Amino acid sequence: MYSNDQEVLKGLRSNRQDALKHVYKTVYPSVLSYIRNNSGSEDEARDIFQEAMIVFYQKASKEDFQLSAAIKTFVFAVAKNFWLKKLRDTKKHTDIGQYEHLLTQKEDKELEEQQIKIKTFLVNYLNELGDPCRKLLVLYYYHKKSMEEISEIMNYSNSNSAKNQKYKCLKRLKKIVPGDFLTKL
Amino acid sequence: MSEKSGHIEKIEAYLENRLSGEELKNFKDQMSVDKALKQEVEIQEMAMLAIEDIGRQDLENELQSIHEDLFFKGSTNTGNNLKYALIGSGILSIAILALFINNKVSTSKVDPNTAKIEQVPVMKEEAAGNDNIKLEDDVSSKFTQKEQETANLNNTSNEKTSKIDKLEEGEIIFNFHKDGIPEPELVLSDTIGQAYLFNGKQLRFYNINPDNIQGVTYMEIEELLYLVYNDKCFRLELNRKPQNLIKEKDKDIIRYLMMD
Repeated sequence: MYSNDQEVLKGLRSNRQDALKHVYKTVYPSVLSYIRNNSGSEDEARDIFQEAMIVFYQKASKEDFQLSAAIKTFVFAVAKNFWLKKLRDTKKHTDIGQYEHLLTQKEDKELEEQQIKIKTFLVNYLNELGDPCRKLLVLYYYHKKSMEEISEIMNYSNSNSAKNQKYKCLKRLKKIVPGDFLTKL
Repeated sequence: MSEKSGHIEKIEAYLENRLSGEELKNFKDQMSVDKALKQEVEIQEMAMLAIEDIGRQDLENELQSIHEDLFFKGSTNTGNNLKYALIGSGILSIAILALFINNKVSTSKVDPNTAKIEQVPVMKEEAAGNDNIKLEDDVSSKFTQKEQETANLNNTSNEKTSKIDKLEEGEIIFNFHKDGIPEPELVLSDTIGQAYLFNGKQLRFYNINPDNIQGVTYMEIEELLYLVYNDKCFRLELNRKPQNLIKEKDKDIIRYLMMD
């Protein structure tokens, strides 16, 4: 189906699921084997691999992305690093003093909880915008699609229409989000 | 909230680091005096993060769905490929180990008081077909219903009364001292079912000691080890870091089995 990595990268932009499936099928067995041979379970292997796939996808989605190694090598290396970091973190948690650790953890956790709270509210507001806006904004901000690509995917007449639609969506979002939203939380 | 024309575009350019030089300086200056603008920037930034979260969540769901599609649906070709690759490697391991055991049987010095290695493996009837084996978490599910029924029939017609029948889950079955150093114990961590035909192939049973162990083998499926006693199949673990040690100590496990 894909004869080389460049085709896979193209596929990620034009037929994401198919290309992701191809990479998944090609790389996952090696990651599974590696993690299992290094004290991990199958569930952990799946989680780590999917994290690595997300990193790969996010990098590959950027227009200026240059492939410096084979996709298999890249994804495997990311997954391996994630796993080694997880092992190190687990070890650290058992090594360092529990009070110091708990304090740092508490601060991090509070900040994280606040951000999660804000994002949860915003996600709700974004969902209020309806499917077309939600999809358009996700395509632009997460999948890094160009306005041309978005106009094709969403059947707009041209890239300018897509661009206008995007700003309308953002305006609507700003209308429904209270001005003092952040200070109230 | 302010809806001044151009704000959204400008804010987006700022957040995406597309402003530079004088333009960037002016925007920052404006933000420092205009609280409403500052607030707008903050909200837009958080909104962009929230959109990315939504996108990421969608992608996570997509990956999970791909995972399930590839590895948990027995009917898909790709799932079958991996499944058969794993099963194939398991069978290959069994074949190699069986060969190893055969060689060992013919040459090893086993204590005649505890073990008599003399018989050709006892073979069972081969089950028809192997296409309906599912790849699932539960190892026992790898054995199909049909195979289970065949095994049960075999068991009832071939009942044994050896001591091994009394082995229970969690029981330590071997505890050796090698050169004065205690070796890891081999534990039957749990029973996963009856030992019977797997993947349409026959398990090879060895009569090491007819009075003690009837038909012993072990098989490696997906890098885990299973031990078969009298048509019962146990998952094997060593008492230290089970999986890794088992892998490193394959030969020792066979030695243990041979010696007992």
